[in-house]
Amino acid sequence: MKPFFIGDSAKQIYTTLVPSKKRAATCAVILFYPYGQEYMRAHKAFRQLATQLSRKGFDTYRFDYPGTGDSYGELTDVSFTTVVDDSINVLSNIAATQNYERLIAVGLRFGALVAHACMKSSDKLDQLILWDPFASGKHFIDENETMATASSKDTDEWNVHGFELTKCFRDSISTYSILPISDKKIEMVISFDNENSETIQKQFNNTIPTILQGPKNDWNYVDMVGSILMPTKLISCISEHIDQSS
Amino acid sequence: MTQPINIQENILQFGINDDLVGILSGPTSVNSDSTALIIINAGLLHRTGACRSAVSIARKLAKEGYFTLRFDLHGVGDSAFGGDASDDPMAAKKEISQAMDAITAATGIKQFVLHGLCSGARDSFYTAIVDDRVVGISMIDGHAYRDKKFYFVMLGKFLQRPGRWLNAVKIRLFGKPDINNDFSMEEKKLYEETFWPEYPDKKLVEDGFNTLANRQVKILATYTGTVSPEYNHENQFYTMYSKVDFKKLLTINYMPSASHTMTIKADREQVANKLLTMLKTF
Repeated sequence: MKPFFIGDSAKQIYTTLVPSKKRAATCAVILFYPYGQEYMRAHKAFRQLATQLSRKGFDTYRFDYPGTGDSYGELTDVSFTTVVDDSINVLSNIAATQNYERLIAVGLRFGALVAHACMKSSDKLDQLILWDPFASGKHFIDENETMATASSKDTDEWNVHGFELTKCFRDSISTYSILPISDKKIEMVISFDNENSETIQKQFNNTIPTILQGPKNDWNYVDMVGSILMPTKLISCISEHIDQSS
Repeated sequence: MTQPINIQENILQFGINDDLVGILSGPTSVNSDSTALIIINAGLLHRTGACRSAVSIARKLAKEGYFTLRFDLHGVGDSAFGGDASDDPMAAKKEISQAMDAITAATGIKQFVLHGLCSGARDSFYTAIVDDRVVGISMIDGHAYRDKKFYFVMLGKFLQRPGRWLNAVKIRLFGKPDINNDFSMEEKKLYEETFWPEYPDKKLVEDGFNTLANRQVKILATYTGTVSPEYNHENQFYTMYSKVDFKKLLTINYMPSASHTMTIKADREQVANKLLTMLKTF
């Protein structure tokens, strides 16, 4: 695994590459993390997915959004726009330094919204897999509102399992929706049928290819000790699917 | 007026085959006589820490002129699998000593404070016992052993709000219904990973603290409300290790309203400030 920073010292984005273990990769997969506590719960699962994809001949990248993980800044200083802009910079950097034929994005939960926005705003991504996605910014906000501490709900800065969700951030994502993008391949992998997946199906007129692989993953769950989630069947399902479809 | 200190963050890969990964935060200029902080993983959480607390601490201390390494033990976060398995409940993690070597190689700094939450607290303690480069440890929710006063405090809390306690017992006995779930709890548990090792025998831990006290190692012991079923009054630390003379080396930071994963920003800041105070004493 190769960790590196993208960007200058004031705006470093922490990125990791798990290179192909088979051959020089012609295709790269970029993983888009979920938000807040879900990022912590998903970190090991993303590493596992990257490892599996590397064994199948893909270079796999992960990176921390600004204000998260080891990247620059604080969550209180970023918006959905900042996250998408920096993510596009990451994609551009990867595309510029490696001559891949195809770039595939896998976006988990909030990461599905970010990856979709990147696909919409730049020509870097060829394929997108939405993993247990939020259907829209409104769905993201509504779910987080149920998890925010009571004392923070009346303030601009919600506290969701110890992570800030500012009014600025909420405003910047509130109108965003996952919709079809012409000439782009978008698919969905879900661990259970839910309102988000049903909404996306409606928004795609029931044409979005969907894989269901249980059991249900409670991403937005927190216990007192900080347990993590490792949905092994679903991770294998995604890596197999990417391998077969490429 | 004091000039703000410029800070830098660099990736540090170290250990055999550089298979351990961390981020070294610090000022842009190095004082090799200073003390560096190393933050140890809490259970399965990777090096950024619960609620990104390790990042906040590292950046705060860097602005104050101190280096901090947050890194992943073998098999956690971005570090490779490997390391030694040991049956010794108090075995020190070799990775932590390798982290000290790596910081010395990068900065020249030779003395360290170890900080950790939960299993990270215990790993800090076990390493401090065997590695005399450690001059201080900070443990959040480390070992806890009940004393007599613990039971009086517990009884007092029960008498104050008996309904709440009976409800807790009811929930433990019958469990909460798992709504909106088509899968069995057994199948779900296959995918939830939690790490909470057993405490070693108290005598072994007490001996360890004696070793640290004899070596003048400073100790910051933080306990949160989450572990109140094991630690429920401020000075329990003194009574559970009554055979240790801590001299003036021990600071208790009792935070009964804080959660184990420090979900409130003010709680995280309190811990960071206590660490800064400790580092300034070296």
